[in-house]
Amino acid sequence: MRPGTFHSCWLTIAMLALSTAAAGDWEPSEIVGLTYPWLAKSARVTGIVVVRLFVAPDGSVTEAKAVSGHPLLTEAARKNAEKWKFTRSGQDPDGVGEAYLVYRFALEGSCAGRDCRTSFIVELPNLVVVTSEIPPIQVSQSKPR
Amino acid sequence: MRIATAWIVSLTLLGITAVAQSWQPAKVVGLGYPRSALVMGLEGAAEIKCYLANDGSVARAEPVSGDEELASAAIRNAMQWRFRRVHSGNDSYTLVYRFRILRGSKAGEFSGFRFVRPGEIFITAAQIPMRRSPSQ
Repeated sequence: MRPGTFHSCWLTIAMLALSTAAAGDWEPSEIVGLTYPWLAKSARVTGIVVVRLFVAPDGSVTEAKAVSGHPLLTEAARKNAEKWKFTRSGQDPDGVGEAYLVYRFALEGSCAGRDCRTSFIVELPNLVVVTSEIPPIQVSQSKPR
Repeated sequence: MRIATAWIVSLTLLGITAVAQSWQPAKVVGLGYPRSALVMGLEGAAEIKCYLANDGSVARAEPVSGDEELASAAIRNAMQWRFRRVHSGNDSYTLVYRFRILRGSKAGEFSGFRFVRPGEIFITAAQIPMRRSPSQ
C-alpha cells in the first residue's frame, strides 16, 4: 500500500469515527465475534473495512454495506455487522437509523499448521480489531513424474 | 387506572435500574471456547466480578460462581477488558459468561462469541468429534 493511500485510509477512519461519535445516535448493544477469514489470512491480506449499517427502530440491522476495503475481507465484515444490535444513545428520536463500523484486520507473528492464535477486540463505540498469526505458506505436495 | 400507573412506574424504575450502571464497557475482548473445557465437554455459566481502577482497567477479577476451569478462562478474559465511567458510584462490574457446546455444527473460533449489554457473554463452539481408534 502506498503511504498516501495509507494516510487517506486513516483520515477516512478518523472522520467516520468522529462523525459517529458526534452524531451519537446508535451504540452497539449486542456484539458478535468474527474470525479472520481463512482465505484472506492465507493470501496475507490485511487492511481496513468500513461498513455502513442501516438500523431499524428496534436496534436490529436491516442492511449492511461495505463502503471500502479488500474484497477478501469485506464480505466477512459485512456479514458480521448484520448480526449486531444497537441501542439509541442520542436524544433525537427521529435521528437517522445509520451507523458505521470500522474493521481493522491485522496479521502478527507466525504459527505452525492451521492452529493460528487469533484475537477479536472491540474498542467501543465502533472500532473492531481482528488479528491473527500468519499461517505457513502451503506448498503443493504433487510429486514430479 | 391505578394498576396501569403502577405498572408504568415499576417498568420505568426497572429501566432506570438497568441503565444506571456506573461503568460501561469501552473495550470488549473476544474469547474462544477454552480448548480443555471443550475436550472435557464442560458447559455452564461463570459469573465474574470485576473490580475497576480509576482508569477503567480491571484491577482484580473474582469468580462469583461457576466451574473452576470455565471461571479461570473467563477471569483471564475479563482482565483484558476496559470500562469507562458514566456515573459516580460502584467501582465493580459483573460479567456473566455462558459456555455452550453445539452438537453437530461447525463454528469458527470467534463466530461463537456474543456480548450482550450490560454484561452477558455467550461463548459457543462446535463439539470436537470423537476420534476412532485405528483398530476399530
